[in-house]
Amino acid sequence: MFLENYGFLIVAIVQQALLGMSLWYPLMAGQLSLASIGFYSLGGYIAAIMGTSPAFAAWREALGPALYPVEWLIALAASVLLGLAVGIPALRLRGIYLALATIAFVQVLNVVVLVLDVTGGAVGLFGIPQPFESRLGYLWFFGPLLAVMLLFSARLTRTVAGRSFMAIREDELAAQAMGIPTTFEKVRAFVIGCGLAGVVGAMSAPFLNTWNARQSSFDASVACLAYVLIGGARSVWGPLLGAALLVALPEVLRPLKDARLIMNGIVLVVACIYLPQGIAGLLASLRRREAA
Amino acid sequence: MSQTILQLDGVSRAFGGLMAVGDVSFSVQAGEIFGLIGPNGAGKTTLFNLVSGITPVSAGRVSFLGRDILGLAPHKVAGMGMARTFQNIRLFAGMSVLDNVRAPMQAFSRTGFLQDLIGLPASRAQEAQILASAMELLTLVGLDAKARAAASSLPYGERRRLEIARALALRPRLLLLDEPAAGLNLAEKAELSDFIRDLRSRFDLTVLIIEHHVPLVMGLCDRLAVLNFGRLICQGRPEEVRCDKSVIDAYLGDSHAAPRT
Amino acid sequence: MNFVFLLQSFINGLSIGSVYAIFALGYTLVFSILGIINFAHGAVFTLGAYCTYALAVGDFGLNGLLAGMSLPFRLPFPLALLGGSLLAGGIGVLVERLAFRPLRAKGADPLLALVSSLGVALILVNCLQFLVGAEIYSFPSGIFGSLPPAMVFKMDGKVLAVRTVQIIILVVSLAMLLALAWFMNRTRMGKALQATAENPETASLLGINVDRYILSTFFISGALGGLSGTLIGASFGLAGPYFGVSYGLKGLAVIVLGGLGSIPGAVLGGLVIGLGEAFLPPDYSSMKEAVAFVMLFVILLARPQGLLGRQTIQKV
Repeated sequence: MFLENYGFLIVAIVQQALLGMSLWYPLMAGQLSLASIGFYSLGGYIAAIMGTSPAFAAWREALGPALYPVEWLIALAASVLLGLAVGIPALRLRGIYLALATIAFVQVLNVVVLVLDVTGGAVGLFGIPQPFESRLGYLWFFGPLLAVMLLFSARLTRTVAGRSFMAIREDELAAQAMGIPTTFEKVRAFVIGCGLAGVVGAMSAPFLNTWNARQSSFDASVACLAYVLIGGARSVWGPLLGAALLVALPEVLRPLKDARLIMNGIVLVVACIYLPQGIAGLLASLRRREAA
Repeated sequence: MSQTILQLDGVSRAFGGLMAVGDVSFSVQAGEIFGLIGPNGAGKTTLFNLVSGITPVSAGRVSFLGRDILGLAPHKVAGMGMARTFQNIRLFAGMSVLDNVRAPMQAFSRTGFLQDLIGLPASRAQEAQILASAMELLTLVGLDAKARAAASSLPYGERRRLEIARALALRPRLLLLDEPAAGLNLAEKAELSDFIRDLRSRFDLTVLIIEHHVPLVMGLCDRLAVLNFGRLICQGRPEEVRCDKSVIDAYLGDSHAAPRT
Repeated sequence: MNFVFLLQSFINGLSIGSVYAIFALGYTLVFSILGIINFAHGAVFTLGAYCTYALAVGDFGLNGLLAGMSLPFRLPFPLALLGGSLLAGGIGVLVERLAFRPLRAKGADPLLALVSSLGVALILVNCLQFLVGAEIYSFPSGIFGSLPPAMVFKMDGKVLAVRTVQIIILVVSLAMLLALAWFMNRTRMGKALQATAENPETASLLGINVDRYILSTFFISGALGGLSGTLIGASFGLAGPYFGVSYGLKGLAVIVLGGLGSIPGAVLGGLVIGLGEAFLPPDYSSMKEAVAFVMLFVILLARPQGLLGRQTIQKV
């Protein structure tokens, strides 16, 4: 019963957590990139087109259920390539300038998908075939991906590349002086995020059944950023904690109807002021206090 | 036959109308401890930035290990074997002491990104080696007990030592130290002096050091260059330089202050 | 090319560009004094428009808490515009109190201030939705009194239309810019604001009450936002509580193009983007929204300090 009622919620949390994670990797290298949502949109359109367009009917026939992993791989490849094309020039920028460049990229992408016929214009694409009967079934997609990415993140912090990312985050100039090729590493962190966002998009298109430019609105970008910051940008669990709170909250507050979105805004402001290290940071400091 | 590690020819750097460094030429020989002294604002740190590639040169040439390094990105210069510390200590504050020292060792990694992530045997072996090397360096500077502590939690003197350990992690041929003795008391300065000499012989290093404290520099350095208003006014062995009139003039204020420290 | 088309595009571009400029000045003032971008500016833009609408038209529609209610009075448009802008200024001050002041007191990372302002924007816009619903409101055509809605000229057999609202926009924008220039350069307060923007520590040492000037800056910034929101609302209607989001983002393109922190830059940037959008060939009109952001991306790669900004040197 619980699962029936809350299945959608659980899957939504996992899916949003993955989106948050796509922001987490560039942030690990100190780069504030709001581009992930653009790649999420790209991945979703790829899956939507492959799922609905007559041009791919033969593929759908031939592959059957194997269509989905193929969609994910193509979305991954496209995201990595586009990520390199955007990242290599953009990552020479620092701080707010990089953030603005990524915002600009997503806005342009939104206009492009509105204009093209293949993406269905303003209406978007709908009727995307669904591999699962219930929402909860999508946990078979998102669940393993989340597990893999959590493992990936944990391993990353213990590798050579991970230490380079963190050094760049701490002090980019000193990192350069210590021999770290900062542009290369920043692009690597960025592309990891883009690739993940693309795959999540490809998995999400059937989940949401329709796909349009609203998936990559500025509000959606802000939501991803919020998950990471509120959950804790320095912790591997950050995006999941943040997504759990921010996705569940409007549901819990359902009786308040329209006012619940106001709640999201309030949570964001309060978290910035009182929880700068996020929930994960708070938990970590509580644990330290207990140990002392 | 002594090898020239670093060579500067007519190096200048202007910021708008201000000539921060003007037509400076000198060379540093292998195994030397070479001191760069001069009053505040003389352009010493700017010179470090020019040599390490952080600030582009307005005129002149710099060659390191016989290679022209003008226009080379800072990380490439570092990769050639030049490591430095900073006047204002720029540690990776949020990372652990151990990770600060391990970070530069990425330059020697022979395994790929995916290999490291999966944890293949070659990567594991390399990580073990990195850990061992880093702990050795930390033991050398007396910070091995604090390996897991956050770098930001260290007191001032230990932060300076950590910065040096981090620079050594790059296995440099040339070590640039920017005022490493700032904020240390007389006893600590003497310790540092011995330490630098020890590093020189242990790691077959050449050292270029900016220092304010004249007695330390006189005792430690094989040769000196004196900068004033961005220009090189004198260079040579400490005994030669200390008697030079232009140097005494430049230091008129400081040489009176020295006995009090 | 067709002369009439060019002239029409020029008028359209000048008009919309001047609104972009006024709006962007709100960002610029806050950036020059605090060094951060106030992401709640777009929300203040929206609220200002709705406030003016409330004062001038006063009837609320079918949704939201205020459904069916109306104000007991109506103001003529110029007064409503003034009132709406002043209210928006007040909201700007509220934004400063809620989003920025607590973080400044803690010396927090500027990134947090950015996200905090995004949170306040969410609160403001959703409060608005809660109060008046999401339907579209338009200023009625008689709002400008006895003035005709547009002046129409026939040239070379083609039609040139200059809407009254466009003329009002140009007049108001010019007046605003002159007023701002006079204020910044001729009044004590304006010069103190510039000093505080230049160097807050020195300014406070000189006896300038930095907090008070930050408040004033947010008030002026909010008023400019509300004013520009109203002008857009009068031109195109109030298309729901989220109509300010795209302008908010476009404003970012304006200030980066002109140079972050530069007042003439904001004006130049606004005009360049306005004219750029207006001169887009009709075949590409669906790409209009992309113009500002393509320009933003290009200027960031080619010349990040913007057209009129100063190049900053990194200190080691």
